[in-house]
Amino acid sequence: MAMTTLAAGLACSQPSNNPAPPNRDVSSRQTRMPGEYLFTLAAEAESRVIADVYGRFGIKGIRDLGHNTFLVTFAVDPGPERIASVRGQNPQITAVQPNFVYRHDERGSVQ
Amino acid sequence: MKALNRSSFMVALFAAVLALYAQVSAAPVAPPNFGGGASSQYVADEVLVKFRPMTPAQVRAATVAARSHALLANLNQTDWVQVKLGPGQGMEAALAVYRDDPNVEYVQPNYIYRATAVPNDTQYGQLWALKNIGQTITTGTYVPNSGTAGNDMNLEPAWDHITDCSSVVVAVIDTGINYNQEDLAASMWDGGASFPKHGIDYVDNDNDPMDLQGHGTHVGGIIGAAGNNTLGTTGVCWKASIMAVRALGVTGIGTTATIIQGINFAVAQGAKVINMSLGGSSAFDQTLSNAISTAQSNDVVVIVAAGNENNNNDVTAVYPCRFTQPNLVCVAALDQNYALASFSNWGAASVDVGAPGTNVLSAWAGTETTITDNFNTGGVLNWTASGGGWAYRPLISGTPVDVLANPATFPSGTYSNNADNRVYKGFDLSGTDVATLSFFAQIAVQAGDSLNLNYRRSGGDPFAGGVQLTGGSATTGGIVGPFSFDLSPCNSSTCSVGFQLLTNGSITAQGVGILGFSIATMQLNTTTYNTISGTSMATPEVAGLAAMLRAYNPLYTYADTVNAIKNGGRSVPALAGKTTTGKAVNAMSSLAFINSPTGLTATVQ
Repeated sequence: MAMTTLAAGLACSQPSNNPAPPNRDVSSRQTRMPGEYLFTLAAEAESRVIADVYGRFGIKGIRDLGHNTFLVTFAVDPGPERIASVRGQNPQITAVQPNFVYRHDERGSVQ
Repeated sequence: MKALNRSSFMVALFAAVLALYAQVSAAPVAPPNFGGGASSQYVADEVLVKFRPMTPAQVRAATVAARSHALLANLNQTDWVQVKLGPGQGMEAALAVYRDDPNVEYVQPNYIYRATAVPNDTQYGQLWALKNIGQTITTGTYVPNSGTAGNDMNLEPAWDHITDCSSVVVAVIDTGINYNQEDLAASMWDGGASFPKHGIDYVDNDNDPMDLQGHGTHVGGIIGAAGNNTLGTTGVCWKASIMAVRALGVTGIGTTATIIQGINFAVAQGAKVINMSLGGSSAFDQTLSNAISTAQSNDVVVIVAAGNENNNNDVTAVYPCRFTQPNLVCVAALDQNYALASFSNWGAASVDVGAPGTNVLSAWAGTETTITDNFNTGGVLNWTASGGGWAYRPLISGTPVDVLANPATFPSGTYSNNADNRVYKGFDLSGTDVATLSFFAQIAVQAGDSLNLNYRRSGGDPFAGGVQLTGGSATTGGIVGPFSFDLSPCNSSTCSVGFQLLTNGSITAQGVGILGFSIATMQLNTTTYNTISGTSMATPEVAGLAAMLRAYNPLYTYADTVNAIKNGGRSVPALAGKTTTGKAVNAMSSLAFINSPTGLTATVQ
């Protein structure tokens, strides 16, 4: 069997008794970072509103990126649909989306 | 900008454009000052005077002497003389007094004409994007590596007017920049005491944007490698102010989070052009879109790559190219014959212009080596294995493929329950600054079982006291996928890398097949250059042009700049129906392009 076809994506899950691997530029052709989501809050809203709604999913960390945007990392990835389904529980959470992956692909010959 | 100021600006701009194209003509007015260009437009203390026919010679001499000027020469053209002005006498005043003399028919400055500016950089002859003479790019791997003379950005005449773009900060959001590279060190943004290393790093979250991969350095060199310094290459701008924003890691990967932080930093620190030679996400990224809109609100031009998948971006979206903000320009790649590069994405509605993108020589971050491993010696696994399971398996279907497999019958059969199967090997990575582990794999590991990838700097079993790169159950859906990991912390002579399949007693699955195993290393230095192809290379050519336009026209808005880039381009058949403009960028024509005035009203009286 010739293995030459590139994968369209990779689904990973972490057993709860394994430590989470360090973030080392894990890359296949995944289009988003598993377990990572970007939350946009209303002006003046505090990040604790994220924990209030999403804490039950197991938040590993919340990082303020500025401009009312927060990067939230979950210990176990709930999935985009589940994340989106509860956003309306607090109107101060104005938007939520996956943390998408971007890349460059160029290679060449070094002289 | 208020209407009156806009009107005055447009008059001055119109006059400057006339001078760009003007032949010597009967326009006895002071010429515009092309400050920042390679040199002056006329001899500062000379004028050429045409006396009316039949004016006696003694009258001509007296006319000149009366103004304390000197008659330098009777030109070999009837009634024309060359006059030297007196000390401290200005051009405008001199023109005025001769214009008012009844014996004078015409007066003008003594204009300077020269061969178009050509930099003396040693590799200039290989920069076909800047000057295409049909040369062969000796280090180019894209075919064709030679092309048609004239298919270039038309920069040499533009350099007659401006080479120094350093008044405009260009942010390169990429893998960082080797700010010590010999051709870039003088072109880096001065971030002061707060940002002494010329930018910021949102991958490692520090203020050192050193490039550990090469791509960002290459992009930066295209924009502003020092020109006319007798070494290396030159950028679109001979002098630049490049802000390094590291948002992509050693494997070339970044995320919405790293990129938007980069955009917001660039805007906050005063960049007026942002280059993003990257792409991803076919899904609309609202957060990234918001950041680009923030850049628009702050009058920043954003130049992005169309992508390298040979796709129609109008059908298969690639962001950020597919965003529609008016401050965004998306760039496709052209080859040396100005055909659309075979890898380049296009889009009649989403991609704007083309620029050279094949066999582009520019600065690189360091020297690279690649270690490959095929798992076997004479058909026998030469990795250290324990606990069974792992085997070398040659798969033959057309081209033979060397595979590290578990179980040995992979892709047939299933792996064993209650197993701790380990396999590892040592590699000498001493003396390297960066190491990237890459391989392809087909994976089917059930939930409850775990495929782990570890390394150990001191060698030996990486699953006894080593560091995990990744681990867990996974599936690639029955096909092979590429994987890359940063192995830089393992830069010792005894670095061991290994795979572990750890299983419980429940359901098993197909297992793992690994192929194409390699470790790419880089040793940073200041003297390396590289030739690569991609829309990533076309993009900074346009970013450099944007910086040039904004430096030449300090009052230009992002809209003026984008208009000049798009409308100043040259129609290219390969781009017709493939881009919004059908044009390849043309630096000289963009410099000369006149934006339509806005904010003006006309009242008929």
